[in-house]
Amino acid sequence: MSGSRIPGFYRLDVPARHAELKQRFGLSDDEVAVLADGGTLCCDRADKMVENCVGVFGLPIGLGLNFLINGRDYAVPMVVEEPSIIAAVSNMARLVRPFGGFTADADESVMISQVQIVGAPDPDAAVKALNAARPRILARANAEHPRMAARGGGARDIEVRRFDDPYPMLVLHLLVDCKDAMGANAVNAMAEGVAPLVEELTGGRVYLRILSNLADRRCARAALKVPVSALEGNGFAGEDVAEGIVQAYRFAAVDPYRAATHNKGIMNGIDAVAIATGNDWRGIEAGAHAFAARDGHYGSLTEWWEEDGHLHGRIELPLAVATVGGSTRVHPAIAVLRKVLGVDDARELAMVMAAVGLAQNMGALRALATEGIQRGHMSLHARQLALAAGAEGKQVDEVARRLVREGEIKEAAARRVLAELQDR
Amino acid sequence: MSNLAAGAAPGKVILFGEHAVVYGRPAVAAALEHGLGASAEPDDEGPTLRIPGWGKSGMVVRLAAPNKAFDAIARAYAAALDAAELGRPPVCLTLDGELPLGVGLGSSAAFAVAILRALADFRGRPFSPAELLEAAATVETVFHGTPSGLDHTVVADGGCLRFQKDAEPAFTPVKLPAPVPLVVAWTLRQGSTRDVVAGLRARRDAHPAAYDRLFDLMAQTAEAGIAALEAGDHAALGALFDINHGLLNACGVSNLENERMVRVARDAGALGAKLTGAGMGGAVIAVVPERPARVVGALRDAGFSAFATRVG
Repeated sequence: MSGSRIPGFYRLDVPARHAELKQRFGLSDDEVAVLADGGTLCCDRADKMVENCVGVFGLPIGLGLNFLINGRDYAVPMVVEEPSIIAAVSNMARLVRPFGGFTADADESVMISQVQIVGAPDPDAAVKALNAARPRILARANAEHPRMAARGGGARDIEVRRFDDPYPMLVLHLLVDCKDAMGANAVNAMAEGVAPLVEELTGGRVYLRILSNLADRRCARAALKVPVSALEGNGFAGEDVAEGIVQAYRFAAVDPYRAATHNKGIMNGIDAVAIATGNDWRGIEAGAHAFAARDGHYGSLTEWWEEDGHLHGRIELPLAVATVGGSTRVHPAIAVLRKVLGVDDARELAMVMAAVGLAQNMGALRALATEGIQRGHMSLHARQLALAAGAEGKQVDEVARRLVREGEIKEAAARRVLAELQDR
Repeated sequence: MSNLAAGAAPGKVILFGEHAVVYGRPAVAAALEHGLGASAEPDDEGPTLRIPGWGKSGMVVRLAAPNKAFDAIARAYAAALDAAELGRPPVCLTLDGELPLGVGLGSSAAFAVAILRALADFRGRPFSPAELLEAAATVETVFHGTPSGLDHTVVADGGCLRFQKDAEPAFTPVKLPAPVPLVVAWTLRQGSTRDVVAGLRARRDAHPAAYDRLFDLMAQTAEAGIAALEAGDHAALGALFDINHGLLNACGVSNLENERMVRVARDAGALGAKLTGAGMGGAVIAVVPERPARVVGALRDAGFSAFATRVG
């Protein structure tokens, strides 16, 4: 049996789950102890991480199960306080598993570092000078953080952007392949290092030199495809569920008020994995929401559609995540959870996170859609009962509404409600 | 536009044991945070190397059109292309970085490793660590005759290493709990390394017992220095820098400029300072965990170049 399909895991008690972890993922007693009570971050270490430290805050760690991504099995550690998220992603991963699970891919780990240039006397000439000096700017950037090139990464390209009204400025982007690091320190050092050269080339003054969290060169994508018939269940026809999911997606696609909530749900899953793997979920959040508004309209991070009797879903978002470097070492549980997750590099981690986001979205849309269908069915049924009880005209809707609100959609209740209305 | 290939290598400082290392004693060296970087792009005119920041108005070296003024650079570039088994490809390397040249901060090793990494990235196949060291030794030979291997090994490794030439293994890593905050100062007025080493050799041959005791003390200081580095003890490290500098002074390799740099740094708040590398000018390093800008400023006010960095 594969590592991520653990039937009945949810029915075990915590010690029995620890036994499964030891058996399936080769965890030692010490490693399991790190996950259990008291094995968390200690105050001594915490005091070196933040200022005015007064303690350590705990959160539940759960496993998202059943994930089959690009043919490989993953049990996904998730740190989150909200109930139902882990169950939802595990259920959806199990639902799509017989149909090949998820396919996923991720870009190279390219971060954008920004250099703000103000007051260049001749902006056109400054743009030209920067583009002409591209090889030198990149060489200087690499000189400022040699470790990145030593690992096979490094500064590989530039972009020059020009803003006019109301605040004229030029912005130089360094595009830096950060390999398995998040790369914040490296790209910040590079932006700082090229600043004197940039001032010399443009005649302007450099102000900010810092990475962008809109890491849209570092996106991950995941997709799934299930036969509509597989969505059948709990008394709902597969076609109805698929249609409900697609309608829910369309709502998010057109309306930012809905998209915010829709994407929040996606991030419920992704952030939980980010925390469990020691990644900066605030940065990921910022990147995801900015990406969702990249066309100037805030929309959905996912897409859902029906085609050839299948429901198709896909997700794309920036995922600047690391498997090496400072952030991944902050908490003692991270190394143990990485062993459970078993990803080889940062891109693979990004793919897993994209799949978790898509699974979460599918779970949420399915629940909302079936709830909608259920309410629809209930109203229809209540109207029939109202008619059967003898209601006429406006009374039909009124009786049906009361029945749905009271949650008692029965013939006797219909007669009682109608009688009450007629007595008034 | 398409992506450019990238390569880079840090500069280095010798923390303990320069000169004594020639006589079989241990030395400790560490990589700087920054160094030299390279980018590589296709160029129809054949192998070209651009170094816009070197010389009065930058260097352009084309292997197809030799220029006597840049002969050593051209030969080093050709050696790098050969080591990368690239023949004479249509590639232009651009090299840049704010590492001072020829003052003992590892610029020739950084040059070798940075262009080798860029060429490896350009060809799409990285060197193994062993291949990189061998190739870097070949390139550095163009500049230095027979390099000790210390510079390019530290520069390629990027960390902190102990070196002793007859030990097995010659290099062992020194594990630092965190990078060490240093201020580096230098003057371009420097004696030739060859002359400084030869001068010391002559003095030592005249007074072997005295010099060997100095070298033993330097070895002891280096070992204590490793302990201080591994413990992250900046105060101890500073004190040991001062001892090592005194011993180098006793060996006659510190000139007035070195003494002034060391004095200015200490007076401005450094926990300790010593010359680094060959001496008789060149560079000085100081341990400055707090307010490095004050020490950098004092050195610049005194007419020297200086920057704050962290090594290892």
